[in-house]
Amino acid sequence: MKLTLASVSLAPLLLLAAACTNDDPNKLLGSGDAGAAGCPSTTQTTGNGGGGGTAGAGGGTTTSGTGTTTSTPTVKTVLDERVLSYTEALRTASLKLVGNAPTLEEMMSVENAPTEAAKKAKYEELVSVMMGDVRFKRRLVEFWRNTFRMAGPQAGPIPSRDTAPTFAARVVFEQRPFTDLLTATEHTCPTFDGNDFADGECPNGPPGMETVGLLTDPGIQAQYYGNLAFRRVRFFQEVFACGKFPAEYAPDAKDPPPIAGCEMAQPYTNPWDFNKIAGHATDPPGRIDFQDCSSVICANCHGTMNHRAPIFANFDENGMWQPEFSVLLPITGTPPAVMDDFLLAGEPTAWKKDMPAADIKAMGQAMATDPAVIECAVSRVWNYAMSKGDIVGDSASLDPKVIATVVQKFKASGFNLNATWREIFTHDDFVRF
Amino acid sequence: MNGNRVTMTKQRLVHHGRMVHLQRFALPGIVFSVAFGFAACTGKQGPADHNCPTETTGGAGGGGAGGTTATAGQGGTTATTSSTSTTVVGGGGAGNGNNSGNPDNTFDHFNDPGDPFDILKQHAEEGPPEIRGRLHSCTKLAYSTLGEFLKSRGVNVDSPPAQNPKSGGQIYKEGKDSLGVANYDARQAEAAFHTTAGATKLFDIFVQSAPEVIANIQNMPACQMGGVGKPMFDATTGECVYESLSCILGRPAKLEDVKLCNTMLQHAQPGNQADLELKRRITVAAFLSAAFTCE
Repeated sequence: MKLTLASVSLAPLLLLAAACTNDDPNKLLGSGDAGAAGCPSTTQTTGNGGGGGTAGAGGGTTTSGTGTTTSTPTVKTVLDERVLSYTEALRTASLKLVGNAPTLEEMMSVENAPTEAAKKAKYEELVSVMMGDVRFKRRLVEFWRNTFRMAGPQAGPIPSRDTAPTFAARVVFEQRPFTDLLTATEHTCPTFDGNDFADGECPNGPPGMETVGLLTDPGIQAQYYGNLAFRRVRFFQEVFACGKFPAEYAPDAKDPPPIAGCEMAQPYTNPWDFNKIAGHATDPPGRIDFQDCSSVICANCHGTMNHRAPIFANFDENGMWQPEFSVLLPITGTPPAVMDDFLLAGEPTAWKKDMPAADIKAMGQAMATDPAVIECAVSRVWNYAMSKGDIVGDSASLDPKVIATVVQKFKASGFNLNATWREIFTHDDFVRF
Repeated sequence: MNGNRVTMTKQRLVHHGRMVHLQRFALPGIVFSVAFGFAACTGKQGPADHNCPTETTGGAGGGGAGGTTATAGQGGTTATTSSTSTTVVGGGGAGNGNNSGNPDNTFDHFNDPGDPFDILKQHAEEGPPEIRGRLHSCTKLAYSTLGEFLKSRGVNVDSPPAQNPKSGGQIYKEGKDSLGVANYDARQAEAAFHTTAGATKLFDIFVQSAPEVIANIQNMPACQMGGVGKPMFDATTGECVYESLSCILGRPAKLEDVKLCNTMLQHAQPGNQADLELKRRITVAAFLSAAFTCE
């Protein structure tokens, strides 16, 4: 193309440049990395003259008669097509934070704000108001009920299934550290009358560890009762680590172990020693062969599951802690499980390979320090805000890069998930549609 | 997908992912709502009833080959043939994940999701993870949220009177399962997304709630400014009132919203008050359906 800068009016270029300021509500799009539509992200000018260049849509290179201007190509994505709208944001935020559409007065207070900055300020003010509303408490309770997939009052020997989601809602609303859900030693079974939280206790653990956050919650243990406590293990993995099993992955794990007779099976990818998982070949033999590999490598999941499950095996069908293992084995006669059914003697329990957990208290502490658990907490709020569905149940996986800065702030705040809710509902991505 | 993006670029209303879902439910919803309204005219009134379009050809029979489409035409519960229902949005037809939609007698809708491969395919359509994660998607309204919204806009949800056809409040109260409420005893959370049945139920609720919304919106605190409310339609001009339209949308109405609203009313037969009332109900229901298919 013979087009030279000399033949191009500079006026449109100036207009283009002006359109790239932070005051342009439609500039965006993307907080930087995607680049603004029509805005060059990086420009290098070489030669002596030329008077700059224009990237135009998608960037590019323009050569003038006396100089060369090169700009890094910017890739336009659908993010560039979003439009800033605080009224749309208010609508969806209100539905999610207080469970109703905004009132006409709320809508108009944002709509009639004179500038974008004023609209932003008004919107953020309303988010704060909504998060102080009693209806936000109710939404939090509902959020956690759906997250934990449990609710219901005490009924005979079946404990309340409301206490766990209520405790989680209270921790968020009252701006306590999210890690309290895994480590708190009191008030973990509060009640909620629709307006206010009230303290409640539910000691339900081994001596000296009667209350360990939600890990000793009778409702959770009852709701997720099952053979070998694996349903409980899955609950804590999926809810707090946001991932299905296998929970751990070690690509080098195959070499070794020696998996006799497993030559035709898939690779072993769990970091735990394959031979320490209970199986028919172990001594004493486990009654379930977790070393089986006739179709799939069971130990790819059970390498981790079997190191966690014994911690939850003392809770009985009604979720109450007992001195002995109180979960059953799915074999003829359904006998109670014993330690040899999970692991070889001497093999430690743990949250992960490098996170030992000798008891339920240590398990809670290990979980509370697991980066995956911390990121999961943020991911769940993000997905809720952005209408993504459950990160596990709806396969709504989230790229960690998307929430990296939010996670950093979450950590810096002392795991204040309430602040994270506000951060997300006022996030640059949330207010663009 | 290109077609979607063109639409989105022109209108710049919602982002891509949301648009995908809108195409699946909200836009067909509008079509369905309109069709529903006219379908409600079939069966009971005589041929001289001017409230119903003459083009309507509902009634019994009509099971399509292969069973993909049928026109029941009973009591207006199924969209029947109507000149207004021929605007089909989306691809439709077998092979693209949609229900086979005969544009003359049903609304084309996306089948219930659930197959993980369908979900992965949908994710791929929405873009790479670092893009997709930054876009709003389209979860359904929580059941409790829908109830609170209806109440705040004038619908009797708490103790709806028994009537035939059922009121919006009745359908709401009886439609929990279709609307995806949680079943905690089965360790199931409330569904995040609509099923086809759930979306259809939602549209039913809006259609049947519209008369109450029109009657009561002026007196609802949520729809008042400084304690003063306005009617859904101007008493003098008969046109849609901006404030009330905004209130049922949950956001300030745009110029095109108001224009569309008035355009729909203009389809009423001149001088026919009954037809005007029908068009008003359909208009309100269509806006509610479009606005609240997604949270």
